[in-house]
Amino acid sequence: MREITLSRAVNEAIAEEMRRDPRVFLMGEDVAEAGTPFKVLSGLVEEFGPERVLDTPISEPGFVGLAVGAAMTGARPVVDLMFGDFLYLVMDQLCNQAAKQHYMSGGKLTVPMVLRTNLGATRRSAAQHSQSLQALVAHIPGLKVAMPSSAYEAKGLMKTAIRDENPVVIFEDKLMYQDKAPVPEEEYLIPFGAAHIKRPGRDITLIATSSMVQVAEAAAATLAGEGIEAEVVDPRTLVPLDEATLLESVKRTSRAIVIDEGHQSYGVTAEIASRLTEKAFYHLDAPVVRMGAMDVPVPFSPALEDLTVPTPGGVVETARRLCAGELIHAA
Amino acid sequence: MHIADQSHGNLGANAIVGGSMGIATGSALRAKLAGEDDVTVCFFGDGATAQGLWYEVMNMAALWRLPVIYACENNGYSEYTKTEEIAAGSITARAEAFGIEAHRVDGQDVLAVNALARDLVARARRGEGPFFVELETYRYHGHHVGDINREYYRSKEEERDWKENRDPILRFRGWLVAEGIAAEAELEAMTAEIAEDAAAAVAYAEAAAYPPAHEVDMHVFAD
Repeated sequence: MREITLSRAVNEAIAEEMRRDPRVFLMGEDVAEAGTPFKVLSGLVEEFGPERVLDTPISEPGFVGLAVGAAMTGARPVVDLMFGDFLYLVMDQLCNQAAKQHYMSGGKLTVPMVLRTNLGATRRSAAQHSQSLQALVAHIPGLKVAMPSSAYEAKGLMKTAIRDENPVVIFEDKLMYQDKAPVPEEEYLIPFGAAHIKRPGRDITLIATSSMVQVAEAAAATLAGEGIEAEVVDPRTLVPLDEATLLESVKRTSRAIVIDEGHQSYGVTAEIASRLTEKAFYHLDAPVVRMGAMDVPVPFSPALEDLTVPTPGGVVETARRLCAGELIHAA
Repeated sequence: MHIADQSHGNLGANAIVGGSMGIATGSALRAKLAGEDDVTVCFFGDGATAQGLWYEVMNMAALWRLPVIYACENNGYSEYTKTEEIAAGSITARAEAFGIEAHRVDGQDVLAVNALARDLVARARRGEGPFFVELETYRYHGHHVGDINREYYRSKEEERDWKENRDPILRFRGWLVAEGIAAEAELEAMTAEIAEDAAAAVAYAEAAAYPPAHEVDMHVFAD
């Protein structure tokens, strides 16, 4: 099978959906000729023209608001939010407007829009261009949240997001745009709420999102050399969450580490870990461990920044201790 | 507050002050992209002109010549504060700064508002928009239902003057009679009928059952 970059996969997904459905259009800062700073959207304005690939002013609340209104009245906007950190700027439009229209109208209004943005530290971009804010939006009823972990997921989840009748926030890891993965030539979609077991194993479950799947897979490879078979599970979407697959895996392995690049406190790892503890407690041989980003603003210094995110080495060490029956946190 | 009826083109009132400005402008963007000829009107109060969102969306509406009319009902009060205490300069000048044609009209004058609205809607439909209209009006009641004692921010005399001497329905009624379009008796009958309809609607709502518990998580997501 051909291998393409994650960047190319996103580009193909959007192009295919724009060809299929004339209601789909793209808007955001520097999406047209510039194709975004990451060049993910290059070539789309040439094919679809400046009306369907619309460069906006640097007005995130404004253009996200426009997308909500366009979606409510029959269009299917894909909005580009250049950095995930800018989510704070658009919270009212996303969380008070987009997320609530369907409920507040008794199911009469729908907001079929996609907000594509990114996450990920270690790009030396400092505290305001490095955050992984998926927990903020996953907290809000009415928003769906997708977390592609490779080019394959990025394409299939994006196509599903564009066809969804609800507002969907899709986070791409900005450090993965050049990472290649096998992606079929023929069309496919990846359903929401269907976790994927990336690597089967019997000893411990590593539940990981987005680029943390790579971290988990690297850890699993090392652990295999030590005789520990780790199962790597990618939820693919946080909302809806395929709780059944996660629980089934943990009940089999009896141990779990949850890895996500958002801040650890009050985060995605906490939510998943608590669900596993509530629903699989009597199957567990060890506490479920969260591994998120440190609870500090992302530092600019490379020496410090690298300390803040989960690493394969950290996962290996934790998994080793869990499987050996050591206390992770002494009382 | 939370009234929406898309079947009549009403995209909904918004409980966030200024919260619908993006939605309305997005509706106009959709009309332009889809080649449809509808015009979107965005209603808000003077208080909402203090929200940054308005300046962002007016900029885009003007850049892309969107068929949207921003209708600011200036009732003199931003919640519990006089507008002059929260609004610097002129409100119409803010729209004009974006190259948007702006109008100020007596919002209590039904005929003047109607004439201006017809003209601007027709022009917006022809692609001449966006437009801004400041309608000078008044808020008879409080900012919310519990805002009963209002004397710390405005006098009862002021409220009485607007209700008795400047009410748009009473003024229009006077015009209808003076022009011989309607007789007093007809208007009295119409007023009684409207009061009856309103009373019946209230009675219907009060008698209606509360929703069953199983509806609590209906419509969080669309299928």
